[in-house]
Amino acid sequence: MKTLHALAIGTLLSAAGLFSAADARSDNSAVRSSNATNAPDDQIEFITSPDRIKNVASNGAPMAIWEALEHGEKVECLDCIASVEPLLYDQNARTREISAWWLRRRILGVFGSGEVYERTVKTLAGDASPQRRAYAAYALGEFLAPPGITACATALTRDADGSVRAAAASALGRLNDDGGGALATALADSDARVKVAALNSAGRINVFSGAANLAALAGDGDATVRRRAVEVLESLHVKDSVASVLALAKNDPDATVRAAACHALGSFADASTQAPLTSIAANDTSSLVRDQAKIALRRL
Amino acid sequence: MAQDLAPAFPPPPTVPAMKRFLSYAAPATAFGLAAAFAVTSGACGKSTDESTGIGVSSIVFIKRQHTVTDNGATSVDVAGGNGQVLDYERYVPGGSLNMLSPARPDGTVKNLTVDFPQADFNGADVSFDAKQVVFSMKTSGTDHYHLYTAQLDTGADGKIEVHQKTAGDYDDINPVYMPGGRIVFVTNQMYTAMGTRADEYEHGRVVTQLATVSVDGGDADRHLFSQNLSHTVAPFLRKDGRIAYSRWEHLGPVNDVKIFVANPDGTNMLAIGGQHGKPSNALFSLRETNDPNVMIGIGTTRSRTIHAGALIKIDARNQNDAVCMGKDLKAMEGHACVDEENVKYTVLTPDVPTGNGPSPVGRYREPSSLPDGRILTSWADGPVNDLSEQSITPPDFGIYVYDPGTGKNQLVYNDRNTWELNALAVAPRSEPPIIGDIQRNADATQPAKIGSVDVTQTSLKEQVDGAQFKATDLAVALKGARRVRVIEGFSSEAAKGVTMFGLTMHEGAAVLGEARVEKDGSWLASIPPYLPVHLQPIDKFGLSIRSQGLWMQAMPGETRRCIGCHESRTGQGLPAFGQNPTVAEQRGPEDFFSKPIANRVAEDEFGWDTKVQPVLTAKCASCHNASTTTYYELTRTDPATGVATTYKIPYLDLSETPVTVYYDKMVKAWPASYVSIFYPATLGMMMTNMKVTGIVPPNWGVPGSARASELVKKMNLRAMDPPDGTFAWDIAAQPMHPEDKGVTVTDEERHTIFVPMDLGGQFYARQNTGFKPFTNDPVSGQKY
Repeated sequence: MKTLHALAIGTLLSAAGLFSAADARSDNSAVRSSNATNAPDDQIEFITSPDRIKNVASNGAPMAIWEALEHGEKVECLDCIASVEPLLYDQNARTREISAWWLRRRILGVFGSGEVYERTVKTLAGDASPQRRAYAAYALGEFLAPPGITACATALTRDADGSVRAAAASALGRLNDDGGGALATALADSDARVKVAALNSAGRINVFSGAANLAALAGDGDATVRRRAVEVLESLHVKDSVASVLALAKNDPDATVRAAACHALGSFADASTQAPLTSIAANDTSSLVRDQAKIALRRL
Repeated sequence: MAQDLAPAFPPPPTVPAMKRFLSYAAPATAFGLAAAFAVTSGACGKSTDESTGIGVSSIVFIKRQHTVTDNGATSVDVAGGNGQVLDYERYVPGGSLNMLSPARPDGTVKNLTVDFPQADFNGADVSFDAKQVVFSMKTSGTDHYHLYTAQLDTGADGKIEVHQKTAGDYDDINPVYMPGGRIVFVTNQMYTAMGTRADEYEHGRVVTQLATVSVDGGDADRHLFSQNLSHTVAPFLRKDGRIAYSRWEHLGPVNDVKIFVANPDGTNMLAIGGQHGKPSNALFSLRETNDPNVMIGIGTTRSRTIHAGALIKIDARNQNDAVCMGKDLKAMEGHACVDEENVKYTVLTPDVPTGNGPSPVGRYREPSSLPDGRILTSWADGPVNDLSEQSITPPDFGIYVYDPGTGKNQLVYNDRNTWELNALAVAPRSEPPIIGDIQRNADATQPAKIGSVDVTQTSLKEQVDGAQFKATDLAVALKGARRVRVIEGFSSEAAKGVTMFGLTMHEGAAVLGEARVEKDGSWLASIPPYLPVHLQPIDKFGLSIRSQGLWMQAMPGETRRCIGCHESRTGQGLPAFGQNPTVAEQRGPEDFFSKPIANRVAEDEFGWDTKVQPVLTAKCASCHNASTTTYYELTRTDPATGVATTYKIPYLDLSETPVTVYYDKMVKAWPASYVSIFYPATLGMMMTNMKVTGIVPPNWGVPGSARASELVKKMNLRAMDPPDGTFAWDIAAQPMHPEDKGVTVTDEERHTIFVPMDLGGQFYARQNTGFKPFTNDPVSGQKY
């Protein structure tokens, strides 16, 4: 038992020898503290100082920002929030990501009424700039907080700008949620960017139930959409899509789509595709497609 | 001829690194400089002299772009997704795979991937017969990185024959040829029931693991290795036929990049360097030299150096065995030639920092050994850190030969418009022996087995304190091990809506089981394959003796059986006389495998509010509650507003009454019990703008160590295994509590209170969040 009166915490720690879970080391003016696990110095986590966070947030390079914030995970610095929040709208995607990552690790000043999270939701819902709305959507994905699901699902279905809808689709993937069906619906969006983003998320989340919507993309007019659709059909093991995937393997005008389709057929391992794959392996005009057909045949 | 050449840039072919920097480190300010100084090997006609001065006729290398002009707009990407050694997401179009012949500044550069003008590249290797190259290529912004091969000779049509070996909705990078027509590489393909595959920091960048394909069959022979919570990167081939690689280790306070090795089938993963001190935080981009178990690589930190750093020689040979110091691999069979505990590190380039501050001279990348022992490597002048980013001036990586004897770089090729990386000699080399597969299936229904021959065998010179131990040597303490706790790790991404588990840096943890240590010191358990686990030998009281701090994994059907609890790496490491098979083997493995993940989540985790609190409420809170506790006060001054707020922290309130505190950067209500127990320890994370008034309790709960936790000491523990009537702490001085007050807490209930402390003191588990695992095997099952 220790009786302490108005001691600064630093003094408290050194005097009382308290365990510090934030074992610290830094090349940037942070504090080195005790190492409870006897790990060698070269292995130990270090933490960034609040001043370092504020400094790099205002004028740091992306790498410096990334490091300072990642190692600032446990840093208690309320006044850093005002410096970091603008980075949610930085031109550099990695800067935006790590900023949201850092912010989501604190409640005070971020998740309260009128604070960062709420402002981000409002930005997505009503900012005049499509770019800021898109960046807000990405941020909500990185915040990993459940209210972002509804906000992004709404943007995905209602925002007039394709880049915003695409960002919202990506954010749902990060949130590991299909947005109550919004992700599946987005596969029929008029904008190819949205469809590709929705495909990426469909292949990422744990539970996706829009396989039928995926298969429909085999007839999409955009080659990138068709290729990504085939790749996601494969990753989700939608084996009842064999016929449509085989049709792409045989007839799609784009070689990258045909190659992806052959690879998917190999994954499905449906014996009925042996003959057509054999033909493709011998006759396709693209050597890369022939390669994938041969690999697929080995998997049947 | 070398392509796109501007008038020759002036660096002489051989200059010391420092001098070169002083001579040529013009303060480049923008991308425009690149065009002004476009430089490569000489612009003269092809020489008829095939002598290269580096001992090989040709090299292959990758060009990666950093400057792109699109519709008149120019963008410069200095580090992109390569700021950390673990990063792999940097895509800038316009790269190429090239061969330089002869390998000298006036050689001819041949673009082997001319049909892919929008491509970027992520690793390459030359086959043993030097006739083929394997490389990772992303053909467009919407593509993934996948593996391709190309014959180095042009075909009948005068073109290079390129074949795609892998495809799918994931990235495959860093390919390396293996014996027996195989390729090992790194992939971010997900394949476990855990869910999505962010690393344990929950970054968007998906975690990477090892995998193999065959050269002939590509993905038809795809074989995934077991997973880790952290990234695996930069594999390289060893002369003994095994795969070595760098791996990010992040468990509790540990955060670095070490060296590991595995068999070509993914089994028998072992640490071989970096565990016991090293000259830099990260050992990265390694290759074995012409001497077995001697490596060269990059010593750097985990971030801000664009994969670059100092050249380091890493000698992991067993210096006490003369056979191991030679080159005869056959003679080394049966010898313990890797001494992971006593690795010797030599920083070959002391002028180059191993930290991430600006270099006064420059930094190296991706070294490999030439036949004569010199080092083929990439090098860039200047700071090669975030200062390069800030000035929008990409480091200019070119290809050089570094001579360890003279400490000088010799220019081989440099194009100021691109980065030249991953240079490799095109020269036949010996193919290491083929190591037969123990298993080749990816069937997650097949358990792995894990165990030890004798947990008491250890070479660690540590001491154990707390309970029955007082500065007791670990080797002695381990003789009291009764069980080994097998702990499953998972990232907070697996616990939906939770971004942190509690007040520590420990990851999500669940107890798969506690396996009995037999009288001969052996233990054995079957566990789910692929999953990262770490181990704690526990004593007769159930307290961890030591927390083993590396994640380990096992493949379906694999048996991972070490000798002891970090036994001597160069000793015999054999079972004791009469111990083969061990008692644990005779008994058979304990089953920690059959329980489905949903049941593990429900039954084997220690969500504070779901598991721990009910015990505290039933047995403790009637005495230790809001009306009985005293309080100490934490006054925190908001640095922005100057407003001071005082929080009342209960000295010991074990009820579930919500207590609003400033805690872990949040003002939030937590159960009073959680605050009471862990607040004293967490004060260490709140270092500024705070004052404490009143009586602060001792560390009731120490994350990662129940043995050091005062609450456990206060309650005391009775030996359960076996129940021999002894107590963890002297019963005379530390009577059982609350039994001394007439309340009985069962041994099982005590277990529920103290095990979470050993695990790390997390509030959250998957159990008390919205976690949903995949309903099927994501590799072979139907996911949707």
